[in-house]
Amino acid sequence: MAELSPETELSIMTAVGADGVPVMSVGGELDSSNADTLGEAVAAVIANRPERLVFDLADLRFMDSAGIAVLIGAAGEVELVELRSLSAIIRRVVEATGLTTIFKVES
Amino acid sequence: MRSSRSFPAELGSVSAARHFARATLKDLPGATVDAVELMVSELATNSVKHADSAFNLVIDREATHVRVEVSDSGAGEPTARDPPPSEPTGRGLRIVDLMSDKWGVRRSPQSKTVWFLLQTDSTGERGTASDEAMRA
Repeated sequence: MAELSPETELSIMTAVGADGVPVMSVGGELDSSNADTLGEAVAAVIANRPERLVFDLADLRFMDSAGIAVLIGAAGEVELVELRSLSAIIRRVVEATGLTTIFKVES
Repeated sequence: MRSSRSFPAELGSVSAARHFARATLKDLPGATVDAVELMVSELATNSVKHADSAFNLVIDREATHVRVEVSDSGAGEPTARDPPPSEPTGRGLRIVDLMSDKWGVRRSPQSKTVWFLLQTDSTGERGTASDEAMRA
């Protein structure tokens, strides 16, 4: 599943690992112009009621608070949201704003 | 050296403003450019989404710091909130407070300007930034 938003370049690919945990790989740039696109993709994955959800952000060149808001929304819907390959700057935001209490952040 | 550009009141302006900031500061250290880019994105979003306004982005590059202004015609009062982790939104200015060395709001009858300053030499003391911002 891959979608491209017309506003700001964003790619979303969802794969389910052998352990049954969905991994959403998000690439491009994520801001208020396309956060809803990710939100809809997350809602479709959460509709299958997974216990955990992984976001792989290795290919995400940029994310602001609009993107963080989508991740927080997801954390409210499943037992555990894990963030992989956070950029240094977003890691700093996540840590400084107390969001490590709702995300598992993989180094 | 001053660079400035105006952007229309549409969501696509947010990424356009980011890219303008990146291009303007491209030879500065990556962490500095990343921080400016993130703060510009937050302020531009506030202008087009919350103030429903076009905005003007000004980047002043000096020997020791970068100063950035985002001006719009919105009436709202910019406030740095500290929402609980479970609350998805409300972090825009908190991020500016966190990433900048100083920031503030300036008003005129027709416009409001949110500005921030980021030291580019190694003597900037990030730890005291929010206290200074609160007094500014």
